[in-house]
Formats: sequence, structure tokens, C-alpha cells
Amino acid sequence: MDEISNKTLATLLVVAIVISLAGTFFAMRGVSQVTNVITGALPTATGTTKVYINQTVSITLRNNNVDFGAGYRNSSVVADAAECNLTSSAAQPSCWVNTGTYNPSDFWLENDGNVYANVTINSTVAANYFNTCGTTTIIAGDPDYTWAGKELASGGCGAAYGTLDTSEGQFTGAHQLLCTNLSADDSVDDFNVTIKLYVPTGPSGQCDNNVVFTAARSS
Amino acid sequence: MDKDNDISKRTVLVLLVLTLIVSVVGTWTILSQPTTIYKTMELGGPAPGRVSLSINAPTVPQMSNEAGKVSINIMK
Repeated sequence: MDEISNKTLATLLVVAIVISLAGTFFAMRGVSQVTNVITGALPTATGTTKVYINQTVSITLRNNNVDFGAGYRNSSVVADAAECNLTSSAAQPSCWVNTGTYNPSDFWLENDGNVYANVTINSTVAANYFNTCGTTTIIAGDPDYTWAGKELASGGCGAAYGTLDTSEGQFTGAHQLLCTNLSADDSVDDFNVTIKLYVPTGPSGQCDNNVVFTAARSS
Repeated sequence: MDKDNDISKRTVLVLLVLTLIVSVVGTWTILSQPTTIYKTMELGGPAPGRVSLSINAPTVPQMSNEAGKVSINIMK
């Protein structure tokens, strides 16, 4: 077999060069197209997020019933001219004989809106709660009907999260400010209201009164 | 084959070296393309984004009322 000539080798090398150049060209063109796809998407990408929040004032009484149950004054403990004081957050006093279970609990109020709120308290009977009883005649003693804010352990409307009126106040028949700037934060958005009845001698029967809490957005 | 008409070995060597150079340069060029893509992404203009927040206050003062009951039954 004859050896191939240098000319043949040179021809093959030239072909190899042409193939190499052509391959490089086509490969570069392919990569360039990929590059165009990626870079074309970048500068014009736009994202928009819109959030609409409606301010809502809303309060809820988690406990809306202060029920002192059924019972009577213990005449062997309290004089006729004195009152037997019942407090929703306290244990049964000795001046009161309960015929059933004595388990009154405070009102428990929560801000379930999403803004700070001022809360007022009101009652239609003013100080004389016993005008709502079956027998309203007062023989002796000084009836009274009072409220007081009570901070919970969470601190709602407490020193750091608003201003709560914790002093004992009479119902007057008008709205009275109970809590200023009650937070809407779930962890500090609630407080209690203690109700106190000063039961005189005389009234009897079922006594009921509605207490109204009103909230308005604080500025 | 007539050896007198053949090209020299030097010419073949030059062509061989040229082939190697073209091959190496071509390979290097292709391999460098992905890096170019990466740089293009890095240097691309910032993509604009927008976040809008609208808090709608009520047009009239909003109130909320809750009523509870205080009850007692005095037996005598």
C-alpha cells in the first residue's frame, strides 16, 4: 500500500480546520440565542403587590352575663340597715345565703377589631339596680350598683397598653369612659369589668339589668 | 505518486499547528459563553417592583356596641 502524500494530508487538515471553524460558529450562534432569551427577560420584569386594609372597630363580650344566682341576705350576719355587698370577682360573702351555686364572674371584653378603641360603659338604671326587681321597696340600707375595670394578666388596657379605669364607679345612666386606647393586638386586647351590688333590705324577686359597652376608634 | 509535486512537510506541520490552534481557540470560545450569560444576568438592570398599601379609614365614626346582663334573684 502506498503511503499517502503530504498533499493529501494537507487537504485533510484544511478540511479539519473548516469543520472546526464551522462547528465553532454554529455552537456560538446557538449559545447566543440562549443568551438573548435570558437577558431579554430581565430589565422589564415588574411585580406589583397591593394590600387593602379596612379599619374596623369591633368589641366582643367574651363573658356577657354576670349572674349572682339566687339567694338572700343572711340576717344573722348583716344588720337590716347595712348592705350585703356582692362582687362578681370575689367569693361569696358571709352576709349572703345562696340557694344554688354561687359563681358570678366579671364581664370579659375583647377588642376584636383592628384599630385602637376607646370603650365606655353604661346602664339604664343608674345607681339603683334594684328598681329592676319584682319588689323594689327598700326598707333599710343604701343600695348601690358599681363597676370597675380590672386588668388581666395579659395587660390589656393596662399601664403599657392603654388606660383602664380601675376605680369603683357608680352607674349614672350615661356613658362613662372605661378604657382608653384598647389595643387590637390579640395578646393585649382584653380586660375584665367587675360588677358590685350593694343589696339593701327590702327588694326581692328576679332583678335584671343590661349593661352596654360602646367602642369608638381612638384617634 | 510523484514526490516532486507533493507539498513539503513544513507546510503540513504549519497546517497541523493551525488546526490545533483553531480547535483550541474554538473550544475556549464555546466554553467561555456560559460565563458570559452569567455576567449578563448580573449586570442586567434592576427589575422594578412596587408594593402598595392602602388603609381605608371609615368615612363616618364607627361604633361598636355590646350588651351584657347583670342578674340576681333575691329570695326573701
